[in-house]
Amino acid sequence: MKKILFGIMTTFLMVLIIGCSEQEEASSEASNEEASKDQTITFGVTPWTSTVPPTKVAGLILEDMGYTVEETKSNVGGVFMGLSRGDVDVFMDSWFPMHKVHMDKFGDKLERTAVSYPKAETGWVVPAYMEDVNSVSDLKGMEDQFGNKMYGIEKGASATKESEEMIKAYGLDMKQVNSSEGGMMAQAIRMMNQEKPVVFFGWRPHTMFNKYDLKVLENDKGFFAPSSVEVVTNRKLSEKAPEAYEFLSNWSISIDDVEQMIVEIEEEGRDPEEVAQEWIDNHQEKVNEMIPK
Amino acid sequence: MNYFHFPLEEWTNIFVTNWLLPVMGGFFNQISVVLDSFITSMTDLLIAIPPEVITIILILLSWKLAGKGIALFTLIGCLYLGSVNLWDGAMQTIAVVIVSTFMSVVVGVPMGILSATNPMINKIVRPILDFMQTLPSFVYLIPAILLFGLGGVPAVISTFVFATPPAVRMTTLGIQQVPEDVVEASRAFGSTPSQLLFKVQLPLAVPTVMAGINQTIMLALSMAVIASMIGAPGLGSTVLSGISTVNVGLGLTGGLGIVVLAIILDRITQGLGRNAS
Repeated sequence: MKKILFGIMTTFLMVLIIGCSEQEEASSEASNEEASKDQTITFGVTPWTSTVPPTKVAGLILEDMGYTVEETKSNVGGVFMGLSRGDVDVFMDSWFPMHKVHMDKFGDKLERTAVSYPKAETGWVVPAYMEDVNSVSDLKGMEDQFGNKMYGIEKGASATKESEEMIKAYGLDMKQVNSSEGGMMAQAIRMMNQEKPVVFFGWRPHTMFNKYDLKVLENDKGFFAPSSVEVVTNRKLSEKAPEAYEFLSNWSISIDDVEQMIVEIEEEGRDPEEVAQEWIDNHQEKVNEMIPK
Repeated sequence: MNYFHFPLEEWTNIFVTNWLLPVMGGFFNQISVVLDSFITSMTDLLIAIPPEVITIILILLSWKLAGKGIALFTLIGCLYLGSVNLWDGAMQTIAVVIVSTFMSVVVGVPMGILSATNPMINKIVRPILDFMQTLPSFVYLIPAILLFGLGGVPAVISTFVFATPPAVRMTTLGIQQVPEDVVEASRAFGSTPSQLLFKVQLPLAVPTVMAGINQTIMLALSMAVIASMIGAPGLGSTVLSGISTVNVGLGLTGGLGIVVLAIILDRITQGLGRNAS
């Protein structure tokens, strides 16, 4: 019995080894072709929903150009740290002036390579059923209805700082409660389900505008100017992978397209790569313009 | 391996949006309100007492229960918390730890006693405990917000899920470890099952139970940083804002604060366990 078992085991192992070595041969052939390029482009990916579509689209195009694409997930601080060290080559979703803090920290090692879309709205958001609240100054005097709370994203985010400053500037009797995008949205959904007053931090592109009837509050003190969403790369990328760098510097995409893709990924549960490929197929001309000849 | 599609994701979402939130939302809101007032009053109390008084109490406790060295460490640790301006944060963290530990003990110890005396319950409880300990806490952090709102409450609930199992397991273990001949002897002298439990088994199990509670407190503290991702106030949020802005100094300052609290609480509860035996 033992012998039979042993026989089965060895055959199984042999098959495995042969199978694996065949695979290795296949992949080594591929890598021989790429030896001339042997290039891996690493994308930094934050947990934000707006990061996924541009990263996937650019990643697929770079793969078509013959690069190997990898993704490193981290929070925004980690991504910029990686960019400065060169562990990460590209970050597709930097928001200016919001991320200027990080740029200033590692300034000489990074560069702002391209503008994805120039005017992304950010600011405080309330549900549409709050008819009397249209600007931040309207909140004055009704803070207690909101439980004196405003919900924000991560504690270290620049938007969080800006919200704090806005609370001071308007003299609002409110405290900002910080968690994360998911935490804030969960709380907002909870309040909106009960049709209660709630104010939180919102930005486009985001599915929240698609799923719920929301409005961005105006403010007359110049807070939350529309952001410019840009591609940031490590300075060495232009030497390391000139073609990839050139493609990225030609990069742009419309905010509506990004939002549409986010909705498809988030709400309809579609595979991000599939959605990105669809965009590429529908915008072949635009893609061809971006790819260096 | 994809022989059939198991629509767990869809089912869960339907369950949450169509039943859990609309039907049970009010009930969970009630729990949230009660727990919130509990946490808030605890926090306010700890912050209202002058830091010097709390420090002196902690030093006396650690001296009595854990010796001179730890008393000195407590003094230095409290001075550190004050000097880096984290005293209030530390008190907020302790408040969350106290409330969640209290809940864990109130639920966990009786649960442990039941499982020790009733093999059937033990069979049911053990896999649930395994589940609670191994399910990644991130899985239930966000759902906790949907039910309880942002802030201290979901943090306490998540900490409760994470930190209760040791209290249950160690209580069960402590009771089962009572020597068989002692149990036999008390039965022979005609003790009822409840007398046996309260006069023989539990007193002998106290050191083990205390070790379990000590573990619970440590786990509750280790949840501090994770819980701050869902708006729990305290040292965790200091660490988190330090990490997310790549401010290593701030992260370390907050992290050391958590370590200080952990060591003080650990030694004091260990001392309690030793004294009980």
